Amino acid sequence: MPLINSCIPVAIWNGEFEIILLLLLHMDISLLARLQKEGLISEDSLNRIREKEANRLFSLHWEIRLVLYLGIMLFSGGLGVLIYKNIDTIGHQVILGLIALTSAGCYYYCFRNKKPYSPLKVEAPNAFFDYVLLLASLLMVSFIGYLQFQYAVFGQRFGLATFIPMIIFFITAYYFDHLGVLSLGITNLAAWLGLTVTPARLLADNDFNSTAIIITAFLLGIILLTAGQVTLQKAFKKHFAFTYTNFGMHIFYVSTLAGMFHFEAIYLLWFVALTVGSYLFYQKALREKSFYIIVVSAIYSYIALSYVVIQLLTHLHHFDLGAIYLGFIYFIISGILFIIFLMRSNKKLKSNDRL
Amino acid sequence: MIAYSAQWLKDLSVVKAGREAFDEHLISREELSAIENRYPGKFYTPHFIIRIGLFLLTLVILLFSFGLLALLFMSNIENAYSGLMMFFSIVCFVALEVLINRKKHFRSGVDEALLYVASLLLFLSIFFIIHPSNLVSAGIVFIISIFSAMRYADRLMVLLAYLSLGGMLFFTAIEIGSLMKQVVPFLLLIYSMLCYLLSSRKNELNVSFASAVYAHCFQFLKIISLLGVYISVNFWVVRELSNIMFNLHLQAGQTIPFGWLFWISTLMIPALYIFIGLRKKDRIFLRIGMLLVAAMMITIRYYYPVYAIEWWIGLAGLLMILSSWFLIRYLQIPRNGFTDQQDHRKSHEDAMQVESLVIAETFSGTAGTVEQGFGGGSFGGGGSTGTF
Repeated sequence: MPLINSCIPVAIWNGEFEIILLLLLHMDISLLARLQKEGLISEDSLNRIREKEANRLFSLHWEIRLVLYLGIMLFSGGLGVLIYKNIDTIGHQVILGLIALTSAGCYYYCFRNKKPYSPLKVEAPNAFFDYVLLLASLLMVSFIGYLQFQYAVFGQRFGLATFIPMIIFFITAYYFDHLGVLSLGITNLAAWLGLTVTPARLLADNDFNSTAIIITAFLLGIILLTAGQVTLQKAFKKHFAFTYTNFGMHIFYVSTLAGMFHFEAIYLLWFVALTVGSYLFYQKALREKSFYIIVVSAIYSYIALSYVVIQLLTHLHHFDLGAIYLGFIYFIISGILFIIFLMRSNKKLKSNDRL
Repeated sequence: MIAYSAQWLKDLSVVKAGREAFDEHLISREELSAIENRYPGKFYTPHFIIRIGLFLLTLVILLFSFGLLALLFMSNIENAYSGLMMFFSIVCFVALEVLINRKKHFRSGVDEALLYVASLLLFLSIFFIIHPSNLVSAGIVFIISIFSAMRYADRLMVLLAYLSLGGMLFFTAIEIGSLMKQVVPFLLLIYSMLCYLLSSRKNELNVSFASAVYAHCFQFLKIISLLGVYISVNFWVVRELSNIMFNLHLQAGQTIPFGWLFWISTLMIPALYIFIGLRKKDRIFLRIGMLLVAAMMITIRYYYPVYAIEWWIGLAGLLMILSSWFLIRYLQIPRNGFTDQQDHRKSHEDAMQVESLVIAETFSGTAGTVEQGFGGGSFGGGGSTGTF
């Protein structure tokens, strides 16, 4: 696993360096001029290109967004620590009031400026809207967390203290159409169930030796995948589907793999569940022409299959060097087969270029 | 010299330019297909996510093939690992050549994995045979990586070649004597500047290949040499490295010879980069400049903890919010050729998905820590996107 984790960045970096850095370079006019001379594009087209390139504006969009995003992170982080350190002099009520006021102010701004609700995708009305909304819902959740911590308004029902933020996140995400808040809602749903599902901490923070955690994660994965599917079929905020599917897919695979490793007696049962899942993902990937789903499910399936093979080999009657040889040969051959599978899938999906 | 068909590489860049023009509705579909027919370039390059899978699987195959080989020979020849590595490395290189020539692979994930494993094993086998000094090791890495960079036009190899040549300079300088130790940072500065000039000048290599074969390598060299310029004269790097390498035993608060000079460069270079980036509308300069501003702030913070950290970051955050707010307002209408509008040349749907994951990663701490109590807001998180 750590090997795979450390190789993925290298692979991504190799793959699409320019896209990741969003390095938009200038068009090569001399090249296009030569194409015109060769008669491949018309004089008009070349003039259009020249004019476009001459008037091309230098977009600072992502640079400014990055500064804004980092600014929000640093500011809220610094403020949080500051309040935490000076809690004795400021007093809880003042801080609670401030947080509530700011959150309400941000929500008020969003209600005033939002575009009419629609089950389709709604564009943000201006550049700040998404960030203000994010701030509003984050502050609201801090407010609730604070209330619980300081005054224990929910008493010993800790679940309620994560359940209510989750509901707020989901309503906010759907009502104002915000993918980031939806992701927060999903991670909060998982937190309510006792799981950490953010991408970098999925493996690190969860104790996958616990039966309850594995089963919860498995069910959560299926719920999220179903949500993604329903979102697609009902065409209700269709662009949310990928977020659901993405979280659901990783949680599903990690939980079934954990199930295989943990329940040694019935690991084949978990393997069957995983295989059924992989088959459905394959169908889905073909339907939606998604390279991403194919590769992710192929890699997880490969890990699962290899585990089963190693299990079978170690339980052989005569476990000796021969079995080890067999294991090595298995990895080489299966690797080649999976490569062929990926190449074939690539050919099948080639017509469409989506993530 | 290049292993891949140079004509096809050229075809690729022509077709890419055509596609970009088509995406912006500047040329018609007929014109695009005419270009594609005239410049076919039949490389095998799968979709980039497939490539990730192929890369990983190839690594698995190579790992176990090498393991199998080692198992087979382990009982017969003791201490034959370097020979085995050399042999396997040659096998990988041959496989790579066959793959490129026969199967027409080009950045398919498979060829890159083969190249990296082959180069690594080649270096290791030589290393274990002759047990070289630092200088000679750097020299071996340089020879392997410059060869690989030229033959396979690979970015990682460009990085290795750049680093190893710099390493050779460094080790030579500190072997010459104490005077040279003082000027090592400037030596490396000049080296990085020369690399930058090589990457950005319209030199023979750049032009004759019609920006097709090595263009991405030169672009990458530009990025790393710009970073290298800063790193070689950053105060923190110079002070701490000389402390470790030359056993200076500096106390806290003690500075190094020419310390003031390094402070100037630490402060000025990021600003200079951003200035150049805006002046020449060069995105690479601009982004690296932004990155280095962060490095500069961390450097200052390290030596001059004037305020408590929360004041520092809170104020910086506020300043960043305000300035970006101002810029967004200011650039509502384009000014001096700058705009806040997105460049619509690439689909930004995917960027939105990635952004949502980043939000989940960095902000979900506030919600998740409810049970443990209100823990002073965990910020940071390194901004790692993990998977997408």
